[in-house]
Amino acid sequence: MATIEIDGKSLEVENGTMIIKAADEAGIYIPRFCYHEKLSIAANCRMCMVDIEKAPKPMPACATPVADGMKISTLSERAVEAQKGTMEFLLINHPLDCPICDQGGECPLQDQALGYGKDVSRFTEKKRVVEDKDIGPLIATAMTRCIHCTRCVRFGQEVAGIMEMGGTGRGEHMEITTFLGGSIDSEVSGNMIDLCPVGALTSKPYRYSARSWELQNHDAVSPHDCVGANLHIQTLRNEVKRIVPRDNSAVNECWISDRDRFGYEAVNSPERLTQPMLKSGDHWEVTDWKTAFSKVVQGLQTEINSAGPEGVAALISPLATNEEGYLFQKLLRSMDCDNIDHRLRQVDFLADSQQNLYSGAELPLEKLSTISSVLLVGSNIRKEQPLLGLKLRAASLGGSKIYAINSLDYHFNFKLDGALIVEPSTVPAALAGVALDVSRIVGTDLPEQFSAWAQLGGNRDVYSDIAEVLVADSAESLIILGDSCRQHPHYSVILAISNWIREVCGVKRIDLHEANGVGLTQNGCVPKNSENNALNLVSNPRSAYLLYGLDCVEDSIYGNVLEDSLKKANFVVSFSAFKSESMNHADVVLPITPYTECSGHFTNVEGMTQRSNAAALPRGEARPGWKVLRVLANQLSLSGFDFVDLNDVNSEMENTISEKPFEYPHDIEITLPDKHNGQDSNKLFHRIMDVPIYRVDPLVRRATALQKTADNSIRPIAGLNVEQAREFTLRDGTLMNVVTPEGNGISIQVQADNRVPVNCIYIPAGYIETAPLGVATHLTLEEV
Amino acid sequence: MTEVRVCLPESNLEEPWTLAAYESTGGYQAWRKIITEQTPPEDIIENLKSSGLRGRGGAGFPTGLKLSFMPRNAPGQKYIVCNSDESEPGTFKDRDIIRLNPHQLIEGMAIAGYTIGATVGYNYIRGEYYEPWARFEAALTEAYEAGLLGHSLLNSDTSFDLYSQRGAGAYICGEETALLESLEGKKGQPRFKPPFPAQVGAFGRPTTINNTESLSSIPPIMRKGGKWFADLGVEKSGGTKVFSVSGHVNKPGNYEVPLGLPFKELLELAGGIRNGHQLKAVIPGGSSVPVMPAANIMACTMDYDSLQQAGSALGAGSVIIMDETTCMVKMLERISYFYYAESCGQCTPCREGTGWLYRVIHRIRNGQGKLTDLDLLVDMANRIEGRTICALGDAAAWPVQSFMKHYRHEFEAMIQSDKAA
Amino acid sequence: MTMVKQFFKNFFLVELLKGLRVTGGQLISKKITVQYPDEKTPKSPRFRGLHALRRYANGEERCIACKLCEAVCPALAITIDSTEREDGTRRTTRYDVDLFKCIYCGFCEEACPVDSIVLTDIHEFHFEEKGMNVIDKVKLLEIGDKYERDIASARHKDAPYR
Repeated sequence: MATIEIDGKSLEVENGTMIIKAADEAGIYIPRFCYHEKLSIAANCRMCMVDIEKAPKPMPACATPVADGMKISTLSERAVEAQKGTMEFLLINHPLDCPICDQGGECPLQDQALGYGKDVSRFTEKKRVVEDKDIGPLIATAMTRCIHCTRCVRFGQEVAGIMEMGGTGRGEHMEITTFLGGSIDSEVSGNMIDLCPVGALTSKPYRYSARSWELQNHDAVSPHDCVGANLHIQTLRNEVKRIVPRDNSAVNECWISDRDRFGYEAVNSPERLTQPMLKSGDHWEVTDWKTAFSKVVQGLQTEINSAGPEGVAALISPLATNEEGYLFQKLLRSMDCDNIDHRLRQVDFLADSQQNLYSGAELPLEKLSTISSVLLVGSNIRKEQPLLGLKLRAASLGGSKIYAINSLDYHFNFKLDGALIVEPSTVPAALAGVALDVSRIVGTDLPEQFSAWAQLGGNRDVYSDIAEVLVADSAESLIILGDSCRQHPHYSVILAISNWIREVCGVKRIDLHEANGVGLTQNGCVPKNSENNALNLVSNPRSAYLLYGLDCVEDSIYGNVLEDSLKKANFVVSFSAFKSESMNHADVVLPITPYTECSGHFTNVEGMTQRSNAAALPRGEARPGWKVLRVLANQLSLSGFDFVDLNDVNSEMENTISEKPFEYPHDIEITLPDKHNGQDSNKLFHRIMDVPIYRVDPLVRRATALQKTADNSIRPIAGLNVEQAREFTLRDGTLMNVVTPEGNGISIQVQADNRVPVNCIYIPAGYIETAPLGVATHLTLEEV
Repeated sequence: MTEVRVCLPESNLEEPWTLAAYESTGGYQAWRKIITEQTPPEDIIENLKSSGLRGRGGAGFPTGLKLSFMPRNAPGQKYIVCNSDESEPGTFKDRDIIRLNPHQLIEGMAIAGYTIGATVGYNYIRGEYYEPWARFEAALTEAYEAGLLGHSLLNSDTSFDLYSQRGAGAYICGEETALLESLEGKKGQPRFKPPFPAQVGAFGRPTTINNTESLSSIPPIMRKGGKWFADLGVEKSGGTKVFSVSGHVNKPGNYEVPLGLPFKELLELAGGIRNGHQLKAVIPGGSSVPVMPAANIMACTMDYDSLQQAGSALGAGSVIIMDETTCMVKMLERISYFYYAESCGQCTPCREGTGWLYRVIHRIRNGQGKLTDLDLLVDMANRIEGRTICALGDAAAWPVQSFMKHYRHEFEAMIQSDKAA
Repeated sequence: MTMVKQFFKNFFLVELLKGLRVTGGQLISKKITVQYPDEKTPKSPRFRGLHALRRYANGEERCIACKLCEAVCPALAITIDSTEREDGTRRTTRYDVDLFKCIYCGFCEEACPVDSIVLTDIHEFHFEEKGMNVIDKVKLLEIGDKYERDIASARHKDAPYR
């Protein structure tokens, strides 16, 4: 510890702390531009000059470590003169376009110019002008305003893990730009907008639409992934104008992903549903809530009377809040119906009856950035859960070892110490291979049912590498199961094997969920009887369907089957915030609100439940889902739905959760690999599937700026191994027919993709175009 | 007065850049002796300290002390880097040292590397110096073939590998940390210190960076002893120094003379002021040090302390001589333009200030100046000086301050006259 | 004695004549009454009347939607929506002034960085229908276009005092 004095205030701080940090902690203000707590120190803006006793010249507070007995003044004549000098230099080439600059009103340069600038400039020469760059659909540039603090450059290098921004040129001609003028494609690029202390990088979708001082902040939580990033939704006159991060060191620190930031565009889209609607023949009629409810009640009662409660199936989007989920399942169960599920991207439900559906918080997300080793299984974590990707990058920079077992050779923003890229059907086998090596190290026998899988996985050096690393520091090791596991036909096997590894050597496991999957699971949006799982509900047509917040084709990996079942059903009710294709199969459409207009709670993968507040009033006649469900239950004369407000719902939920109704024993019974494995015929290609980052939910699919990014293609593009693409004499963009063994086929653009292993074809889900393929694991490829 | 050649080869030597010629003057004796005797590094440092050798790159930091700062016994790779990115206007001494005497530099680097426990050295040579680079490469080949560089030298445990690296034309890469960045393949921008290169240098490892002339001075010191070297010069400024004399003299060129030589004698050595002209001003250490009017410099001896007391600096020993025909406004305009063009753009005062300085001076020379501009210039220079990461800011500020101090009347006359160019 | 004085004062109607002197004086002095609306009093160039939005000489609207007027307005009489116009400039899509709320303080004009919103010297205006108290961008620009010469000359006259 060192005792220092800043502006006469005596402080005790750790040795080696930078003065600026000590001052910040003591609440003493030092002006700065380039310094940021989460980034490395650049000391290039020279704004934070302070006066240190006995130092021959003013020193930068951000880069000067404290020393015992140091006497620092931030207000002495010398310090202020230095700060004013820097401000004058910063302002000489900075344009005076604050009135049209989106940063105006929340601009550190503007604020500090008030304190340290002069009202009249001594600079009478011409100002520098820098050409603006087009760096993609998310970030607008005005590079003349740039003060070269390099925060954006350091963010890319250090936090995001891809250096997309850099400085070129010398002196006055130095420019911050992208490599060869390319676009910024990082999934967390929006944070550069927050970091930029001037208006050089601003939000493109928000451009010129409001001023910071007139926006109202609303505390919300992102529904797009299972991290639950904290957000400020900012509104003006009841319209969401933009979303910025809300600091929470336990969850998102000060970052949010682009999906969280720009997903709001959907809520202002013309596709919003603002009136209840009834289908009349083949067209839609606008109606009022009363009529709509009576129609729903009538329809449901007719079907229940004819087919019994079993004839009703309810599917809910994982984007729903806990309250919506709770009320939805309560409504169903009050009608003696267990047919409810939210897992529309899961195929294998065998594990349901055998283990906890949610294994609980094995470690706080915070710890992810200091974990010592990680095994990623079937996960493109960088795009699935961008903020967890950042944490893993931090861990990787700190020296942790990260391995991956994947079907696509994903480009991560951290270094992989070893990667195994195998066809999808071999993923469980590869995990079994790791388990086998774990069993050797630990000295326990591998359970027999895994051995068959382990044999399939073969013998690879990387297994023992992974096993050794996992076992070596098992308390600080982690297995992460990603989206591809969840979509895997042998998900239960992956769960069982990873569970076994976890039990024998004590590593932690995180089973990544979609959006609010954890909250919905905990609140009953899974069937009590595993037979009533989503796949069964979809593939065995029921007479009535309740769809909640779904674009049913894109939001399910068996959307094609669902569509058929909906066509066969007698009565379909869709609760939706948006008009969509799937609306056509419904008889009644009830407009509900997206998360920006609906308060509620989200539970992240760590098990942390956070409240998200409505930021705007509902559009038109749309109403928050929980209110719609409550009134619908009343209309159905169901008891126990007399909630006055959200808190009522909440307190009831809390009591229910504490009973833990979904606790299962976990004796593991394991299916053996089917005969396809290992002996693939030459004609069949393994299908690799994932849901691209900007196709995952109804909101991002309607966020126009996100749809224009490099991470998204408007139409799906299939990827073929580079070598095999050559055999097919493929040119990029060639159309090919892809056919399932059942004969369902689509024609799709195919291009060579260096991430795809041999004998595999990558076809993204989340598109209407690829829905006909369903969950087929093998496909044939024909030239058109 | 005649020259005393330590770093430059004796003028009677044929092809002095060859190994044979260098060895004929006692070259590599010191290095061989160190390898065979495994001289303790402490002794070498003592010897260097007693020689009074100070950094010849401009700052004048005692070389022995600098080498002693290295965590010599710390595990891991360490580096010795030679700064031959000589770009200061008026300086051309390193060019002749590398061109004419490359082996002495190699030997100096090897000894310095041995002293600090570095087994790898880099010589960062200015990009425009093609011929010196080629000579240095040839000398490296010779030295490797003679078994003086490489692994297990002379059957000992000592190893030393030396590589040369060419710059790409940026003045800032002569700043030691910017040089390291450039050496690592990054944009040449100075790093903030601390940490100093002795803790975190090239590739994140402890590194010592020395000027070409300093390193070249090491072999003769090792051969003949620190005292011999110290006695060549004066107190606190030991040894000889290569002065690059340029400007309005009859015989511009490199002159290696003992430190402490009166300026008058150096001027005579360079053939005196060109025909019939009077000495007006001298910049004694390269364009970045303060200018000195004739009267001041004539009273000075050429060593670190004397020039410092007179309000300037020895710098890199590049003496720019100006006679009475020189327009000081034009001179300052040219100097300011150099710093404007060469600022790396990293920190604010230098990036923005150098351009402003140049533009104001340019305006004055074009007859559009105002008298208030002169105070503005001084004020700006004061706000750049000492506020930047590296010394380029100071280098840009000092000429302005000194020109304003000694030649303000010329600027005023220029502003007030309507005949301004 | 006092009574005698009083008697004569009363007898010769002195007080009355004194009073009539003022009246008589007014009969022949210059009149200050103005025959409004046929005649009008002069107005200061700083007069703060009806609002207008100005244009540049090339016809481009001055307003850049910085919303400073909206922010400074103490009566919350101004409502602005802004967006990026096709040519990439920042422009308003809506500029409403509620004349009932406006207190004619002139802060909007002071705040405007481009001299767009101005208060003209028009003070004779009325509304006939509900809702006409809110004047929109089109109307404001129209006023500006119509009175540009007067507005410009008033700003010019006031310039030396700013």
